[in-house]
Amino acid sequence: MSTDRETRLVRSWLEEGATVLPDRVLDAVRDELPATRQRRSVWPARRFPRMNRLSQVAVAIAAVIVVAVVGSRFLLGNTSVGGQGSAAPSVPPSPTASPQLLNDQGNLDGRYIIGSGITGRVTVAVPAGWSAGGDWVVRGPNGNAAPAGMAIRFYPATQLYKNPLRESDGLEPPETTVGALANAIATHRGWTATAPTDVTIDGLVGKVVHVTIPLDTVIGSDGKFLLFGDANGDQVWGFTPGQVFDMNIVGVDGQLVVIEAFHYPGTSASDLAAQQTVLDSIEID
Amino acid sequence: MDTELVTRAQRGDEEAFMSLAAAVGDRLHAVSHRILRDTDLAEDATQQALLAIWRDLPQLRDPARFDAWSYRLLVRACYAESRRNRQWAPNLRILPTDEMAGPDALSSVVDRDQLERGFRRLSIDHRAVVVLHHYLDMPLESVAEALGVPVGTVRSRLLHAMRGLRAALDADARPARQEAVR
Repeated sequence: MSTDRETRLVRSWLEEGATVLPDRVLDAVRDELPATRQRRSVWPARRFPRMNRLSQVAVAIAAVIVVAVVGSRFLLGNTSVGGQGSAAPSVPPSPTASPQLLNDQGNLDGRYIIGSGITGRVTVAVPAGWSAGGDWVVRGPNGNAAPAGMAIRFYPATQLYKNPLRESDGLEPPETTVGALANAIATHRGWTATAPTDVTIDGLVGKVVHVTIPLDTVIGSDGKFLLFGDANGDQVWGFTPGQVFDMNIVGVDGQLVVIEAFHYPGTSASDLAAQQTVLDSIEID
Repeated sequence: MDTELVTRAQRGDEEAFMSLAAAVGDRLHAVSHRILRDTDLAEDATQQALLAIWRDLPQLRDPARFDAWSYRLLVRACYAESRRNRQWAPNLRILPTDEMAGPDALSSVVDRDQLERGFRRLSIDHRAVVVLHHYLDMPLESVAEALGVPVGTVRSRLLHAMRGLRAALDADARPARQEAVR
Protein backbone atom coordinates (compact mmCIF):
# COMPACT_ATOMS: atom_id res chain seq x y z
CA MET A 1 0.00 0.00 0.00
CA SER A 2 1.34 3.41 -0.86
CA THR A 3 2.05 5.95 1.86
CA ASP A 4 -0.22 8.48 0.18
CA ARG A 5 -3.16 6.15 0.18
CA GLU A 6 -2.48 5.14 3.75
CA THR A 7 -2.34 8.78 4.84
CA ARG A 8 -5.52 9.55 2.91
CA LEU A 9 -7.30 6.62 4.53
CA VAL A 10 -6.16 7.57 8.01
CA ARG A 11 -7.16 11.19 7.54
CA SER A 12 -10.54 10.24 6.15
CA TRP A 13 -11.11 7.76 8.96
CA LEU A 14 -10.17 10.35 11.57
CA GLU A 15 -12.83 12.68 10.23
CA GLU A 16 -15.42 10.31 11.64
CA GLY A 17 -16.30 10.77 15.26
CA ALA A 18 -17.68 13.23 17.76
CA THR A 19 -17.06 16.89 17.17
CA VAL A 20 -19.37 18.48 19.74
CA LEU A 21 -18.86 18.38 23.48
CA PRO A 22 -22.20 17.70 25.20
CA ASP A 23 -23.46 20.51 27.42
CA ARG A 24 -23.62 18.15 30.37
CA VAL A 25 -19.82 17.96 30.39
CA LEU A 26 -19.46 21.73 30.52
CA ASP A 27 -22.12 21.81 33.26
CA ALA A 28 -20.14 19.26 35.25
CA VAL A 29 -16.98 21.32 34.84
CA ARG A 30 -18.82 24.44 36.01
CA ASP A 31 -20.08 22.56 39.08
CA GLU A 32 -16.60 21.42 40.00
CA LEU A 33 -14.77 24.71 39.55
CA PRO A 34 -15.43 26.12 43.03
CA ALA A 35 -13.93 23.00 44.60
CA THR A 36 -10.93 22.95 42.27
CA ARG A 37 -8.17 25.13 43.61
CA GLN A 38 -5.95 26.84 41.09
CA ARG A 39 -2.30 26.03 41.57
CA ARG A 40 -0.05 28.87 42.47
CA SER A 41 2.75 29.70 40.17
CA VAL A 42 6.03 31.47 39.99
CA TRP A 43 5.91 33.89 37.13
CA PRO A 44 8.94 34.65 35.12
CA ALA A 45 10.32 38.11 35.20
CA ARG A 46 8.08 40.98 34.45
CA ARG A 47 9.56 42.36 31.33
CA PHE A 48 9.45 46.08 30.97
CA PRO A 49 9.68 47.38 27.45
CA ARG A 50 12.57 49.64 26.71
CA MET A 51 11.64 53.29 26.97
CA ASN A 52 11.98 55.35 23.86
CA ARG A 53 13.99 58.56 23.85
CA LEU A 54 10.99 60.84 24.42
CA SER A 55 9.85 58.78 27.39
CA GLN A 56 13.32 58.88 28.88
CA VAL A 57 13.39 62.67 28.64
CA ALA A 58 9.90 62.93 30.16
CA VAL A 59 10.86 60.66 33.04
CA ALA A 60 14.07 62.63 33.63
CA ILE A 61 12.15 65.94 33.76
CA ALA A 62 9.59 64.44 36.14
CA ALA A 63 12.38 63.15 38.38
CA VAL A 64 14.02 66.60 38.50
CA ILE A 65 10.72 68.21 39.48
CA VAL A 66 10.13 65.66 42.25
CA VAL A 67 13.65 66.13 43.60
CA ALA A 68 13.25 69.94 43.50
CA VAL A 69 9.95 69.88 45.40
CA VAL A 70 11.13 67.40 48.02
CA GLY A 71 14.47 69.19 48.39
CA SER A 72 12.83 72.58 48.87
CA ARG A 73 10.70 71.16 51.68
CA PHE A 74 13.80 69.90 53.44
CA LEU A 75 15.57 73.22 53.00
CA LEU A 76 12.60 75.21 54.28
CA GLY A 77 12.22 73.11 57.41
CA ASN A 78 8.68 72.91 58.78
CA THR A 79 7.32 75.61 56.56
CA SER A 80 4.49 74.16 54.60
CA VAL A 81 3.76 75.27 51.11
CA GLY A 82 0.78 77.63 50.85
CA GLY A 83 0.28 78.62 54.47
CA GLN A 84 1.21 78.53 58.13
CA GLY A 85 2.69 75.34 59.46
CA SER A 86 0.61 73.08 61.59
CA ALA A 87 1.16 73.23 65.32
CA ALA A 88 1.02 69.49 65.52
CA PRO A 89 4.35 67.88 64.76
CA SER A 90 4.35 65.58 61.83
CA VAL A 91 4.97 61.92 62.54
CA PRO A 92 8.26 60.83 61.05
CA PRO A 93 8.41 57.42 59.47
CA SER A 94 9.54 54.86 61.97
CA PRO A 95 13.02 53.60 61.30
CA THR A 96 12.02 50.27 62.81
CA ALA A 97 8.77 49.72 60.94
CA SER A 98 7.26 46.26 61.38
CA PRO A 99 7.98 43.89 58.53
CA GLN A 100 5.18 43.59 56.02
CA LEU A 101 3.91 40.30 54.69
CA LEU A 102 5.45 39.54 51.32
CA ASN A 103 2.46 39.88 49.03
CA ASP A 104 3.25 40.20 45.35
CA GLN A 105 4.57 43.74 45.72
CA GLY A 106 5.99 45.23 42.56
CA ASN A 107 8.70 47.12 44.43
CA LEU A 108 10.25 45.85 47.61
CA ASP A 109 12.38 47.84 50.00
CA GLY A 110 12.59 46.76 53.62
CA ARG A 111 12.07 43.65 55.71
CA TYR A 112 9.32 41.23 54.82
CA ILE A 113 7.65 38.24 56.43
CA ILE A 114 7.48 35.14 54.26
CA GLY A 115 4.10 33.42 54.06
CA SER A 116 4.01 30.36 51.87
CA GLY A 117 2.70 27.99 54.53
CA ILE A 118 5.82 28.26 56.64
CA THR A 119 4.67 27.92 60.23
CA GLY A 120 7.69 29.62 61.80
CA ARG A 121 8.45 33.31 61.36
CA VAL A 122 10.93 33.86 58.58
CA THR A 123 11.78 37.41 57.52
CA VAL A 124 14.14 38.78 54.93
CA ALA A 125 15.50 42.25 54.14
CA VAL A 126 15.18 43.13 50.47
CA PRO A 127 16.72 46.19 48.80
CA ALA A 128 14.93 48.53 46.43
CA GLY A 129 14.64 47.25 42.92
CA TRP A 130 13.57 43.78 43.88
CA SER A 131 9.98 42.53 43.55
CA ALA A 132 7.82 39.82 45.07
CA GLY A 133 6.18 36.79 43.51
CA GLY A 134 3.23 35.93 45.71
CA ASP A 135 4.10 35.49 49.36
CA TRP A 136 7.16 33.29 48.84
CA VAL A 137 9.45 34.67 46.17
CA VAL A 138 11.75 37.69 46.11
CA ARG A 139 13.04 38.50 42.64
CA GLY A 140 16.23 40.28 41.77
CA PRO A 141 16.40 43.60 39.94
CA ASN A 142 16.54 41.78 36.60
CA GLY A 143 13.60 39.55 37.41
CA ASN A 144 13.76 35.81 37.82
CA ALA A 145 13.86 34.65 34.22
CA ALA A 146 16.79 33.60 32.07
CA PRO A 147 19.26 34.69 30.94
CA ALA A 148 20.24 37.09 33.73
CA GLY A 149 17.58 36.92 36.41
CA MET A 150 17.66 35.42 39.86
CA ALA A 151 15.39 34.99 42.84
CA ILE A 152 15.06 33.47 46.27
CA ARG A 153 12.11 31.23 47.08
CA PHE A 154 10.94 30.08 50.48
CA TYR A 155 8.70 27.06 50.91
CA PRO A 156 8.06 24.03 53.08
CA ALA A 157 8.80 20.82 51.20
CA THR A 158 9.24 17.14 51.83
CA GLN A 159 8.60 15.49 48.46
CA LEU A 160 10.48 15.58 45.18
CA TYR A 161 8.98 14.74 41.83
CA LYS A 162 10.18 11.39 40.54
CA ASN A 163 10.63 12.78 37.06
CA PRO A 164 11.02 16.54 36.66
CA LEU A 165 9.64 16.33 33.14
CA ARG A 166 6.71 14.01 33.74
CA GLU A 167 4.26 14.98 36.42
CA SER A 168 2.26 11.81 35.89
CA ASP A 169 5.09 9.76 37.40
CA GLY A 170 4.15 11.27 40.74
CA LEU A 171 6.11 12.14 43.84
CA GLU A 172 8.84 10.44 45.80
CA PRO A 173 7.88 9.43 49.36
CA PRO A 174 8.07 12.32 51.82
CA GLU A 175 11.32 12.88 53.70
CA THR A 176 11.21 13.70 57.37
CA THR A 177 14.64 15.10 58.19
CA VAL A 178 16.87 17.82 56.81
CA GLY A 179 19.61 15.31 56.05
CA ALA A 180 17.30 12.86 54.30
CA LEU A 181 15.77 15.56 52.11
CA ALA A 182 19.21 16.92 51.24
CA ASN A 183 20.40 13.43 50.32
CA ALA A 184 17.29 12.83 48.22
CA ILE A 185 17.97 16.03 46.29
CA ALA A 186 21.66 15.23 45.90
CA THR A 187 21.06 11.72 44.57
CA HIS A 188 18.09 12.45 42.34
CA ARG A 189 18.61 11.20 38.80
CA GLY A 190 16.63 13.99 37.16
CA TRP A 191 19.33 16.64 37.55
CA THR A 192 22.93 17.15 38.53
CA ALA A 193 23.67 18.04 42.12
CA THR A 194 26.49 18.43 44.57
CA ALA A 195 26.78 16.44 47.77
CA PRO A 196 25.07 18.08 50.76
CA THR A 197 27.21 20.28 52.95
CA ASP A 198 26.44 22.11 56.17
CA VAL A 199 25.06 25.62 56.06
CA THR A 200 24.05 28.00 58.84
CA ILE A 201 21.14 30.38 58.39
CA ASP A 202 20.52 32.79 61.25
CA GLY A 203 22.10 30.30 63.63
CA LEU A 204 20.15 27.30 62.37
CA VAL A 205 22.33 24.54 60.99
CA GLY A 206 20.97 22.95 57.85
CA LYS A 207 22.18 21.49 54.59
CA VAL A 208 22.79 23.04 51.21
CA VAL A 209 22.74 21.24 47.87
CA HIS A 210 23.51 22.91 44.56
CA VAL A 211 21.27 21.62 41.78
CA THR A 212 21.60 22.31 38.04
CA ILE A 213 19.12 21.56 35.28
CA PRO A 214 21.17 19.68 32.66
CA LEU A 215 21.83 21.71 29.54
CA ASP A 216 20.40 19.03 27.24
CA THR A 217 17.05 18.99 29.03
CA VAL A 218 14.02 19.53 26.80
CA ILE A 219 11.40 21.27 28.89
CA GLY A 220 7.83 20.91 27.64
CA SER A 221 5.32 23.51 26.64
CA ASP A 222 4.16 24.03 30.20
CA GLY A 223 7.64 25.33 30.95
CA LYS A 224 8.04 23.23 34.08
CA PHE A 225 11.05 21.37 35.35
CA LEU A 226 9.38 19.89 38.41
CA LEU A 227 11.26 19.92 41.68
CA PHE A 228 8.95 19.65 44.67
CA GLY A 229 5.26 18.88 45.06
CA ASP A 230 2.75 17.93 47.66
CA ALA A 231 -0.61 16.27 48.03
CA ASN A 232 -2.38 19.63 47.78
CA GLY A 233 -1.13 20.07 44.27
CA ASP A 234 1.34 22.82 45.12
CA GLN A 235 4.43 22.64 42.98
CA VAL A 236 7.84 24.19 42.73
CA TRP A 237 9.64 24.02 39.44
CA GLY A 238 12.55 25.37 37.46
CA PHE A 239 12.39 27.06 34.10
CA THR A 240 15.43 26.63 31.92
CA PRO A 241 18.33 24.26 31.18
CA GLY A 242 21.43 25.53 32.95
CA GLN A 243 19.44 27.07 35.78
CA VAL A 244 21.20 26.62 39.13
CA PHE A 245 19.46 26.25 42.48
CA ASP A 246 21.22 26.64 45.81
CA MET A 247 18.85 24.66 47.98
CA ASN A 248 19.29 25.49 51.64
CA ILE A 249 17.26 23.20 53.85
CA VAL A 250 16.59 23.98 57.49
CA GLY A 251 14.20 22.69 60.11
CA VAL A 252 11.94 25.44 61.42
CA ASP A 253 9.53 24.48 64.21
CA GLY A 254 9.64 20.88 63.07
CA GLN A 255 8.94 21.84 59.46
CA LEU A 256 11.39 21.27 56.63
CA VAL A 257 11.85 24.62 54.94
CA VAL A 258 13.71 25.12 51.68
CA ILE A 259 15.30 28.51 51.14
CA GLU A 260 16.27 28.28 47.52
CA ALA A 261 18.34 30.86 45.69
CA PHE A 262 18.42 30.34 41.94
CA HIS A 263 20.25 31.95 39.07
CA TYR A 264 21.36 31.35 35.48
CA PRO A 265 24.71 31.20 33.76
CA GLY A 266 24.11 34.79 32.60
CA THR A 267 23.38 36.23 36.04
CA SER A 268 25.93 38.93 36.81
CA ALA A 269 28.43 38.69 39.64
CA SER A 270 26.98 41.85 41.21
CA ASP A 271 23.49 40.34 41.20
CA LEU A 272 24.82 37.14 42.75
CA ALA A 273 26.49 39.22 45.45
CA ALA A 274 23.19 41.06 46.04
CA GLN A 275 21.43 37.71 46.27
CA GLN A 276 23.91 36.56 48.91
CA THR A 277 23.34 39.76 50.87
CA VAL A 278 19.62 39.08 50.91
CA LEU A 279 20.25 35.47 51.97
CA ASP A 280 22.48 36.71 54.78
CA SER A 281 19.68 38.96 56.02
CA ILE A 282 17.28 36.09 56.71
CA GLU A 283 16.03 35.92 60.25
CA ILE A 284 14.21 32.91 61.63
CA ASP A 285 12.32 33.19 64.93
CA MET B 1 -7.46 31.94 21.08
CA ASP B 2 -8.69 34.94 23.02
CA THR B 3 -5.67 35.62 25.20
CA GLU B 4 -7.67 38.13 27.22
CA LEU B 5 -10.00 35.30 28.29
CA VAL B 6 -7.01 33.16 29.14
CA THR B 7 -5.50 35.94 31.23
CA ARG B 8 -8.74 36.56 33.09
CA ALA B 9 -9.17 32.86 33.76
CA GLN B 10 -5.59 32.70 35.01
CA ARG B 11 -6.57 35.23 37.65
CA GLY B 12 -9.40 32.99 38.83
CA ASP B 13 -12.31 34.44 36.85
CA GLU B 14 -14.66 31.46 36.62
CA GLU B 15 -16.96 33.02 34.04
CA ALA B 16 -14.03 33.81 31.80
CA PHE B 17 -12.86 30.24 32.17
CA MET B 18 -16.28 28.84 31.26
CA SER B 19 -16.31 31.01 28.14
CA LEU B 20 -12.89 29.63 27.34
CA ALA B 21 -14.05 26.07 28.01
CA ALA B 22 -17.04 26.56 25.71
CA ALA B 23 -14.74 27.88 23.00
CA VAL B 24 -12.24 25.02 23.16
CA GLY B 25 -14.44 22.21 24.45
CA ASP B 26 -15.58 20.89 21.08
CA ARG B 27 -12.06 20.78 19.72
CA LEU B 28 -10.66 19.06 22.81
CA HIS B 29 -13.49 16.56 22.78
CA ALA B 30 -12.97 15.79 19.12
CA VAL B 31 -9.33 15.03 19.84
CA SER B 32 -9.99 12.93 22.93
CA HIS B 33 -12.68 10.98 21.11
CA ARG B 34 -10.29 10.15 18.33
CA ILE B 35 -7.53 9.14 20.71
CA LEU B 36 -9.65 7.02 23.02
CA ARG B 37 -12.15 5.68 20.45
CA ASP B 38 -14.90 5.66 23.06
CA THR B 39 -17.59 8.26 23.67
CA ASP B 40 -17.88 7.89 27.44
CA LEU B 41 -14.15 7.79 28.03
CA ALA B 42 -13.65 10.78 25.77
CA GLU B 43 -16.26 12.82 27.66
CA ASP B 44 -14.62 11.94 30.96
CA ALA B 45 -11.17 12.77 29.62
CA THR B 46 -12.33 16.11 28.24
CA GLN B 47 -13.99 16.98 31.52
CA GLN B 48 -10.85 16.10 33.47
CA ALA B 49 -8.69 17.99 31.01
CA LEU B 50 -10.82 21.13 31.37
CA LEU B 51 -10.54 20.93 35.15
CA ALA B 52 -6.79 20.40 34.88
CA ILE B 53 -6.60 23.44 32.61
CA TRP B 54 -8.46 25.51 35.19
CA ARG B 55 -6.24 24.20 37.99
CA ASP B 56 -2.94 24.75 36.19
CA LEU B 57 -3.83 27.84 34.19
CA PRO B 58 -1.98 30.24 36.53
CA GLN B 59 1.17 28.32 35.65
CA LEU B 60 0.88 28.95 31.92
CA ARG B 61 3.51 31.57 31.30
CA ASP B 62 2.49 32.65 27.82
CA PRO B 63 -1.28 32.85 27.18
CA ALA B 64 -0.58 32.75 23.44
CA ARG B 65 0.58 29.17 23.89
CA PHE B 66 -2.70 28.10 25.42
CA ASP B 67 -3.71 25.80 22.56
CA ALA B 68 -0.57 23.68 22.56
CA TRP B 69 -0.56 23.59 26.34
CA SER B 70 -4.21 22.50 26.51
CA TYR B 71 -3.51 19.56 24.19
CA ARG B 72 -0.80 18.40 26.51
CA LEU B 73 -3.19 18.34 29.45
CA LEU B 74 -5.80 16.65 27.29
CA VAL B 75 -3.43 13.87 26.29
CA ARG B 76 -2.54 13.39 29.96
CA ALA B 77 -6.24 13.08 30.75
CA CYS B 78 -6.58 10.53 27.98
CA TYR B 79 -3.76 8.54 29.55
CA ALA B 80 -5.50 8.65 32.90
CA GLU B 81 -8.83 7.57 31.45
CA SER B 82 -7.28 4.73 29.48
CA ARG B 83 -5.52 3.51 32.62
CA ARG B 84 -8.62 3.86 34.72
CA ASN B 85 -10.76 1.95 32.30
CA ARG B 86 -8.93 -0.84 30.63
CA GLN B 87 -12.17 -2.57 29.72
CA TRP B 88 -12.64 -1.05 26.34
CA ALA B 89 -16.15 -0.79 25.04
CA PRO B 90 -15.57 -0.38 21.34
CA ASN B 91 -18.03 1.68 19.40
CA LEU B 92 -17.44 -0.08 16.16
CA ARG B 93 -20.00 0.85 13.63
CA ILE B 94 -20.70 -2.06 11.31
CA LEU B 95 -22.65 -1.13 8.25
CA PRO B 96 -25.49 -3.41 7.22
CA THR B 97 -24.70 -5.62 4.24
CA ASP B 98 -27.11 -3.88 1.88
CA GLU B 99 -25.19 -0.62 2.27
CA MET B 100 -22.16 -2.26 0.75
CA ALA B 101 -23.10 -1.53 -2.78
CA GLY B 102 -19.83 -2.17 -4.58
CA PRO B 103 -16.22 -3.16 -4.18
CA ASP B 104 -15.14 0.37 -3.19
CA ALA B 105 -17.67 0.59 -0.38
CA LEU B 106 -16.75 -2.88 0.75
CA SER B 107 -13.10 -1.97 0.72
CA SER B 108 -13.83 1.20 2.63
CA VAL B 109 -15.59 -0.64 5.43
CA VAL B 110 -12.83 -3.19 5.60
CA ASP B 111 -10.24 -0.45 5.73
CA ARG B 112 -12.07 1.34 8.52
CA ASP B 113 -12.47 -1.79 10.58
CA GLN B 114 -8.83 -2.61 10.17
CA LEU B 115 -7.76 0.91 10.96
CA GLU B 116 -9.87 0.79 14.08
CA ARG B 117 -8.21 -2.41 15.21
CA GLY B 118 -4.75 -1.26 14.30
CA PHE B 119 -5.26 2.06 16.04
CA ARG B 120 -6.48 0.42 19.23
CA ARG B 121 -3.27 -1.55 19.39
CA LEU B 122 -1.27 1.67 19.57
CA SER B 123 -0.29 3.30 22.85
CA ILE B 124 -1.87 6.61 23.80
CA ASP B 125 1.49 8.25 22.97
CA HIS B 126 1.34 7.01 19.41
CA ARG B 127 -2.36 7.70 18.99
CA ALA B 128 -1.90 11.28 20.18
CA VAL B 129 0.76 11.94 17.59
CA VAL B 130 -1.41 10.51 14.80
CA VAL B 131 -4.46 12.53 15.85
CA LEU B 132 -2.65 15.82 16.42
CA HIS B 133 -0.78 15.54 13.13
CA HIS B 134 -3.33 13.96 10.82
CA TYR B 135 -6.58 15.22 12.32
CA LEU B 136 -5.58 18.69 13.52
CA ASP B 137 -2.98 19.14 10.79
CA MET B 138 -0.43 20.24 13.33
CA PRO B 139 3.17 20.33 12.07
CA LEU B 140 5.46 17.89 13.84
CA GLU B 141 7.22 20.75 15.62
CA SER B 142 3.91 21.89 17.08
CA VAL B 143 3.03 18.34 18.08
CA ALA B 144 6.37 18.11 19.86
CA GLU B 145 5.70 21.35 21.68
CA ALA B 146 2.22 20.23 22.66
CA LEU B 147 3.39 16.88 23.98
CA GLY B 148 6.58 18.19 25.53
CA VAL B 149 8.86 15.79 23.68
CA PRO B 150 11.59 16.30 21.08
CA VAL B 151 10.60 16.49 17.42
CA GLY B 152 12.63 13.35 16.75
CA THR B 153 10.48 11.45 19.22
CA VAL B 154 7.33 12.68 17.51
CA ARG B 155 8.71 11.64 14.14
CA SER B 156 9.58 8.16 15.33
CA ARG B 157 6.23 7.74 17.07
CA LEU B 158 4.42 8.77 13.92
CA LEU B 159 6.51 6.39 11.85
CA HIS B 160 5.82 3.55 14.23
CA ALA B 161 2.12 4.33 14.40
CA MET B 162 1.69 4.56 10.64
CA ARG B 163 3.65 1.37 10.19
CA GLY B 164 1.25 -0.32 12.61
CA LEU B 165 -1.77 1.02 10.77
CA ARG B 166 -0.33 -0.01 7.42
CA ALA B 167 0.26 -3.51 8.76
CA ALA B 168 -3.32 -3.65 9.97
CA LEU B 169 -4.60 -2.59 6.57
CA ASP B 170 -2.34 -4.93 4.63
CA ALA B 171 -3.05 -7.86 6.89
CA ASP B 172 -6.59 -8.16 5.77
CA ALA B 173 -7.19 -8.84 2.17
CA ARG B 174 -10.05 -11.13 3.08
CA PRO B 175 -13.71 -10.35 2.41
CA ALA B 176 -15.39 -8.23 5.04
CA ARG B 177 -17.03 -10.04 7.87
CA GLN B 178 -19.47 -8.42 10.17
CA GLU B 179 -18.26 -9.14 13.64
CA ALA B 180 -18.17 -7.59 16.99
CA VAL B 181 -14.80 -6.50 18.23
CA ARG B 182 -13.94 -7.16 21.84
